[in-house]
Amino acid sequence: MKNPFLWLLLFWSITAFSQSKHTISGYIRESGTGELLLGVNIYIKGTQTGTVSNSYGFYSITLPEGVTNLTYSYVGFQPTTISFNLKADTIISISLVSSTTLKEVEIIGDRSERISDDVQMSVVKVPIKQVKEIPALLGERDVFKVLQLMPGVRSGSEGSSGLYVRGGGADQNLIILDDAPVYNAYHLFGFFSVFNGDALKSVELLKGGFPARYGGRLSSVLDINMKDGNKQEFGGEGSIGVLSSRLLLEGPIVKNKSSFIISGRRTYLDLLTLPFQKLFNDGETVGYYFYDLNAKLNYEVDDKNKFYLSSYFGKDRFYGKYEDSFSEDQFQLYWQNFTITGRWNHLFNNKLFSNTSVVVSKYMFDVGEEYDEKNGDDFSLDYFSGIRDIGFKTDFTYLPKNNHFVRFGVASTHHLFTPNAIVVKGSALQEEIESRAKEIKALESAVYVEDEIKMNRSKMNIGLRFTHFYVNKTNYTGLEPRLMYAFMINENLSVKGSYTYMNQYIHLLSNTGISLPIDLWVPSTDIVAPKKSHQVAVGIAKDFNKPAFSVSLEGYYKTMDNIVAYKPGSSFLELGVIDGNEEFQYEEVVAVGQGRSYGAELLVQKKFGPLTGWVGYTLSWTLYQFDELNFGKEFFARHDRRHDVSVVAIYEINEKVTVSGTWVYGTGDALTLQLAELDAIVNPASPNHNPGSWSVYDYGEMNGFRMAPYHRLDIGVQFHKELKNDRKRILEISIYNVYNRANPYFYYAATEPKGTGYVTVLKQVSLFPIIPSISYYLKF
Amino acid sequence: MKSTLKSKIFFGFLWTLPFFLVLASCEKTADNVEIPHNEPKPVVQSFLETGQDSVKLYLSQSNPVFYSTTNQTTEIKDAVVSISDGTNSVNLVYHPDASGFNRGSYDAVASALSFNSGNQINLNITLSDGKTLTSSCVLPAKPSFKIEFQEIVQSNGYGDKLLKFKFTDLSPNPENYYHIAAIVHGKQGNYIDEMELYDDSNYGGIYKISGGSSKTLSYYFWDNYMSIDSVKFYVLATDEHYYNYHKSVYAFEGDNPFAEPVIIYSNIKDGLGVFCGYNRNSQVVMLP
Repeated sequence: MKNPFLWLLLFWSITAFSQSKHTISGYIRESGTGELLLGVNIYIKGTQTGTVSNSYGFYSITLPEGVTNLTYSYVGFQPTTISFNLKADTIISISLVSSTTLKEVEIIGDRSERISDDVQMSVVKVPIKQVKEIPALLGERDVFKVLQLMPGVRSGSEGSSGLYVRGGGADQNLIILDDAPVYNAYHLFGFFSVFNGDALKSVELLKGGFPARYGGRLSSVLDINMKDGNKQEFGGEGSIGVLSSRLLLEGPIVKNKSSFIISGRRTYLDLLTLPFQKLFNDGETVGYYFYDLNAKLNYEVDDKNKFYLSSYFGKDRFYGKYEDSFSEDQFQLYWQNFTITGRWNHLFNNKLFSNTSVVVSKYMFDVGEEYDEKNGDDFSLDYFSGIRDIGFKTDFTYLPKNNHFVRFGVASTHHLFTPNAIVVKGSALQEEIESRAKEIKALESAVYVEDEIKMNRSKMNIGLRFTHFYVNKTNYTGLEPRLMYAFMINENLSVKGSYTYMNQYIHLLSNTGISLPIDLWVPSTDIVAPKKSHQVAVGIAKDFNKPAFSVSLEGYYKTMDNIVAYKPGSSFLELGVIDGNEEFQYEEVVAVGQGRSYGAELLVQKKFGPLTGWVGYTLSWTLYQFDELNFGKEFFARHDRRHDVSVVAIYEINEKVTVSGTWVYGTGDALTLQLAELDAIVNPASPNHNPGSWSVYDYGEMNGFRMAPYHRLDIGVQFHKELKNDRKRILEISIYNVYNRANPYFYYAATEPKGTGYVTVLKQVSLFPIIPSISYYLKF
Repeated sequence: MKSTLKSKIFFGFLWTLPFFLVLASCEKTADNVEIPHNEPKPVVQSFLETGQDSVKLYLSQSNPVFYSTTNQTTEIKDAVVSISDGTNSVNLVYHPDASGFNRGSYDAVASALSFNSGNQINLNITLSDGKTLTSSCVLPAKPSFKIEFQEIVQSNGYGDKLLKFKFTDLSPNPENYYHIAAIVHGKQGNYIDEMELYDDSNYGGIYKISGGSSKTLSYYFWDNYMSIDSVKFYVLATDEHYYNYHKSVYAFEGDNPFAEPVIIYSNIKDGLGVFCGYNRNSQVVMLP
């Protein structure tokens, strides 16, 4: 035991002797909390022999008998090496000690986070610590906002958290929280994501090169894991900000055996403004809030069995009320997510690990109005849409030899779609209307196997995923090959390549390309086939030792088939059920087309030392082609962005003060803008009628107009202070949009006086000017 | 009813506007972007009927939305407009004193041309600045169809009834385009009134139907207004240009922020609008 901070739990269990090699396995935890650590590198220094811990902190490595020096390294933790004489199969579970700032000298020669050593490409790992240090809008730290600062992930429009990865649409991201899919991951029309950074353990985004264990979406996988909760002592943290307040509590239920964590946040703009509205608004009040709750329990039965129960609930609600002596009118618009995951980790032996999950995920949005004439008629309307999943999956990790890391598993999810439904009733009507679109049931299943193979100077991940989707007596199947290859040119330089084929069986009907809660989730049908995507990526990765930083350059080409969009003039309001037609046939209002995206991404990243951060640059093109849009001609997607630049810097001046800054630049969105008005004459079918005349717009080409470029600088400073009884506080001051750039949110045509007449001009509306904010954070 | 419910939901979303107005920190004239092709364009509309040699063509120019000092479209009065059937050609004449629906129109009785189904008619327009606009269309054959009464159902809470008919395409073509209008003549007191029924499933009555297939036509009717015993259908077999143009015009939703923008179809080279053909037929269907 070289490291004085090491807590080492050694359990020798002699099993069948297999000549001169033995297997070391166990779990890796965070010292002080018992939190399981995923993605930890375990290796013999100076050799290619090594492995990583899986998503549940388990690892297994087989080594020759004799004296062994095994190193454990993980970014943000002190690397630890243990020496022992390996004589038999051994269980070693260790705890790593967190380190606030790693000195560069400790990292040189360390494998932790070396991108040239990893077969995986097109991956973005976001340290939660950095999420908490980067300045944020109104002090709301947001995982999605940090992801948007990475190349290949287009930063949204003004204020938006929407993810657009390598040209993919907002519905092409598989967002999973503890194995549960999250269907609408946005608060406040996309200004913030639903993920409360306080409760998260890890965030990993895959933009391409998807291993076979992932499937169901075309463009990205965002795998988010919640913290397990401190198994050793009670604690918590909380903060008070301009927009919201947060509180997290965690602690052991049975020390070192079982723990809990619960975290929540709520905005309070509505509570603050309500008294003023009552004073100054004549009977009219409006409000908005969002909140979310994360909770998780875990219980470690023994060293081979662990149980977890985690849940998320979040809701956004707009509401309004108008009242006078004659009537009362109330409105509300809300959307909410609910997920719950039960997991069982089981260790069959020191080479075979399994995780079995049962998952429920539910999303719905609702628009309602109640109108009541005092002493008169009343009327109420409720319009809603949603999706509910119940899923089961089992994943196995099998490590037969050091040069094979095998994963295989099976998953099945029952989807229940309620695309839209409406209930209208009241004395103002002759009769009630209750028109619920027929609920659509679908079953989506998959089985996969993948193997990460190490050869002399190269690594390969080869996998195959078979998928099946059943809906309305229609069966779809997909056989999805996955291949990733990395060749080490030398110790610090590698070239990589990948090919993936993906199927997506569900679609999001979205207007104008912006992800809004009113967008409808619908399944593939016998008319609208599943989306399909082929993606090829090649790249080069280089690690530098002095100073320690990494550079990666990747190019990609992706095709997307059977993508859907509303037909011209259509919206969710066109769907038949709104008019009392019980047959919901969304196929009639959507067009099916194809897309392609290609580009190059550069990332220069420094993860260690007092100064950390990265520079990212993306050059990309995204084009769509629909027979029924733009009269069949190819056009730029709304989220097409030629140039996207992000610069992120975090500098720890000393243990008490950290300063940070981000600067982003992006080419403007492509937009369809009205250019001219014309009178469109329409021919009457009846010979006795006159022609009609409609005033319509000439838009030119679809998405032929470019919004102004987007750029913005944010800065922040954090003051850290250690308090008595192991408490800690952070005072954070940040400034969003430092140079007050008026970035476009939307445009509209407005008439202004000019001379003796009027002229129509194009107006740009911006949302966020320079915004200073302050928040107070306390950990106890 | 349809528009009422949609309006309710649409205006429901407008309740969120005060929030965005609070957030909208800044509004300014967009002077840092390029507005492309902000020039007036000539607009042509002409619908030729198979077998009819009376030709009318509307010619105007579009009015740029931005930085234009006028607020209405203007007729083009001095163009040379000619149509031909490949053998003969006829010039159309502008009528400066025309009013109402004839305003801005050029016309001619082109008896020198052949307007038989299957014939291609070519358009050539020369503007005063020397620019030319061209287009062409092929005149469709007589529509071949059958319409049968299906049922009358109570449609919603406002007392509207839905009249349903089965339309069967009898054409040998794999794909056919139709424009269908349902006209009723009913007694209202001592008067006999004529009214076009509102097509519930397809606003404007523009259809693309596979050859030999059937389609249900649904029309709203409020029988408190008048009583009827039959429906007369006018069925126009149209070319693809007619279909695309009318489909796009009827789909136009103006400034609705929730609706996809509609690019108005055009088959006019170097201009906007449509030059297309149709062939009309009719059928009366008795109600039970």
